[in-house]
Amino acid sequence: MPTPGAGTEAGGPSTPASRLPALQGTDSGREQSLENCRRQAPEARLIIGILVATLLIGCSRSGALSPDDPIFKGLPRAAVVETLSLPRVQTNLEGISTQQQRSLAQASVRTLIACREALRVYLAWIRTGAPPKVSPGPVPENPIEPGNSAVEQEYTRLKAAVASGDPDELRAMLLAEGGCGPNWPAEPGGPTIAEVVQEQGA
Amino acid sequence: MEGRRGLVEEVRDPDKTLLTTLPLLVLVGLASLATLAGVVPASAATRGPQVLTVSCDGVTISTGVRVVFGSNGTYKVRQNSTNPSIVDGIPSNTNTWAVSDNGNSLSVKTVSDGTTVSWTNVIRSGYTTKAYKTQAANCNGIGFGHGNYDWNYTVTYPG
Repeated sequence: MPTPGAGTEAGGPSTPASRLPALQGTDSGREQSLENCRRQAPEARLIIGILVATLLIGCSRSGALSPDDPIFKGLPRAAVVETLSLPRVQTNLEGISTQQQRSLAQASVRTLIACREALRVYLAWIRTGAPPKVSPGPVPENPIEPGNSAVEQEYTRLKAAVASGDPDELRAMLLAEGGCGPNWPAEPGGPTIAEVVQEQGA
Repeated sequence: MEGRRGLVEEVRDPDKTLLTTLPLLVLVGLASLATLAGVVPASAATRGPQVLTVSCDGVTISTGVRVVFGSNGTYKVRQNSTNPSIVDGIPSNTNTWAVSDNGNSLSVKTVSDGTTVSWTNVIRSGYTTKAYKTQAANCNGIGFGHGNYDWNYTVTYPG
């Protein structure tokens, strides 16, 4: 009695795929083993597929984003490097999918720039009595959603606060929950935007 | 003269007066509704209860539901229950916050079973809930690692 599945076609390769046709049309034991193989093959493929997917997911989640990643093309490199080095950003990027990471990381760089622009406008406004023009931030070559829309909303809010004619609106926006103030340093390694705004008094 | 009288009678006719004033009433009604829509805050939306697996190591961050605000407003997270709720005398309290789509975070707050934390005047955006255990505990018995607990929570946000 031959060992099930152990036979090889004369002169043929010994791969599982090549063995299967060779087993056909022989004795009943071989037919039985072929039947077993047929039943097990989809399961084996499924298991291998799951293993490969798990490895891919594991690898993609463990890899930190580099400032050279193509998603940052079109954004100032200094801002990218600074943003990715911030512990708060690193924490935010933890435990999310690669696609979510890409959107959030790209948006975070743009938000850092937008928030510093909002601070610049606020400080100039309360010092001179007139708000300077809002400078539009750089846009990456390939904006990623939903971060892209969220950054655009940030600029829309900034322009609306300026259009209100009341610097206190911009101040409130800078200090609000989910706003720029508590989240970003006013300058690299410096105090937060909120701390700088609060120094100005109400 | 007849023509002039006819005009006066037409204006005083109750049916015709109603027909004349009805569009005006409709306009006033619509204007009132529009004013109310602007003044009354948008209703709160709820997502949950739902369960998130959170590590008991007190370090690893888990990511929960993402919700999109319809306006600025209050964001709430309620810890409905946890399983296990207490391990070696340490309750499964959870540090939670949310991250907006553009990378701004809410402050971290601690929530325990049956309690709610809230953030007011939160700027409109999409927000993703994050959570980690306040204090490490062994939820895994004699197994390797700290194990996990089920965090049953509900979020409320401006719809």
